Amino acid sequence: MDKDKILKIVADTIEVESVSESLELHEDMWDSLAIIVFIAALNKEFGLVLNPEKISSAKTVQDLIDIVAQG
Amino acid sequence: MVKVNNVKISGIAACVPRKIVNNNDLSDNIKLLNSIGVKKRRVVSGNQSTMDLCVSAAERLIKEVNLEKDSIDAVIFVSQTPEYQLPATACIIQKTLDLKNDIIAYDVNLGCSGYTHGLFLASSLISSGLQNVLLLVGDTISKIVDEEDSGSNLLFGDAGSATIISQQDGSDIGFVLGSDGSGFESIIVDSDKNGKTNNKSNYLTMKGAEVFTFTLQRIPNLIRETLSYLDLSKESVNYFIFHQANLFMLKTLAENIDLDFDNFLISIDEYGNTSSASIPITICHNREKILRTPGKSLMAGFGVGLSWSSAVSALEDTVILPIMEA
Repeated sequence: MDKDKILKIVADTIEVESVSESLELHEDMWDSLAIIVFIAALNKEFGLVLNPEKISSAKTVQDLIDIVAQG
Repeated sequence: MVKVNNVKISGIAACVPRKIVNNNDLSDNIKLLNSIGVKKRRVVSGNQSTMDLCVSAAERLIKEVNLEKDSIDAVIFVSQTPEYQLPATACIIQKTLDLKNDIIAYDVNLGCSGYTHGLFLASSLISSGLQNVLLLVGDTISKIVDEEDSGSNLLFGDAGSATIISQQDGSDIGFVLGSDGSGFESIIVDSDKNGKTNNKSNYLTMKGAEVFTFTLQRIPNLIRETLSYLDLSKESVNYFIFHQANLFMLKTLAENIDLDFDNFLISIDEYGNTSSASIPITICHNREKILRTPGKSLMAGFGVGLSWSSAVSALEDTVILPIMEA
């Protein structure tokens, strides 16, 4: 998986310019709507449909990168 | 996959409550509102029920189609919000509409996929020799939504519909149907086994992200299978009429299946997610467009169950009435 693409998808999802791997995902930005938008964007970019429970369990952007890498 | 021959949809009517709720009055979360895509919704007041809305639609439709009531051989009521836990609402409708006694009348408990499943059942009955089937599909989900549930409270609208399915030589409807009960808890009203309420368990709970992933995994294949089974190209379908789950879902599906969103008919902005009634509401809401340029329509319902179904029919000779209020 292209890490930069995932970082871009996360940034677009939470509507910021850019994010780093260490960014912590707080509930106010990583809510149920964000998770759905993220799942849709991953599906479009990589053709994946990821488990929403796994995505909601992510504490940092690096966790998300790891989850996407596991497919 | 099933193709039912010599059957047509003679007429479709839909009825909504008069009371309008504007979502802008309930939330200032613009991102959420834009994603859901619901500007306003209709909700019932007082004792108004799903059956009331469906019966109003049916009375008008029977008149407009000029159908003799004695030629209606079956009435099917598809809903998750029936009059009573028992008896079947369809039996009450037989009496309310003054239909004949030698009629087949039963209920089906389905929601988002209910209309297309109902069309299949009605078509199958026509195929077995019945002359006309009255299919009543609707829900009043506002009665089971927790007002503190910000997602569901902005999403659902109430509506009822009536459809007449009849014998017609040379006309057919193709169906693909399925179900996966492993996701039964994704959308649920979890009353106890005696149907009694338990804290807030009589309210609808919906795991939005799980339903979203189910839809993304299942529905693009459903559409491809449907087109392939009926030997149709995407371009040969004039209208894609999907269950109005939410606007973001519809746009994501269009993109995933590579369909032009201009060919999607929409009603969610004006009426919300009307559960089982969302397909007939969408047809009636877009009646002028369909009547101006008639053609093949691919309808698809998906959600609670979890279950899904599609139906392809030409709506060329179908009487489509404007949405009524009651």
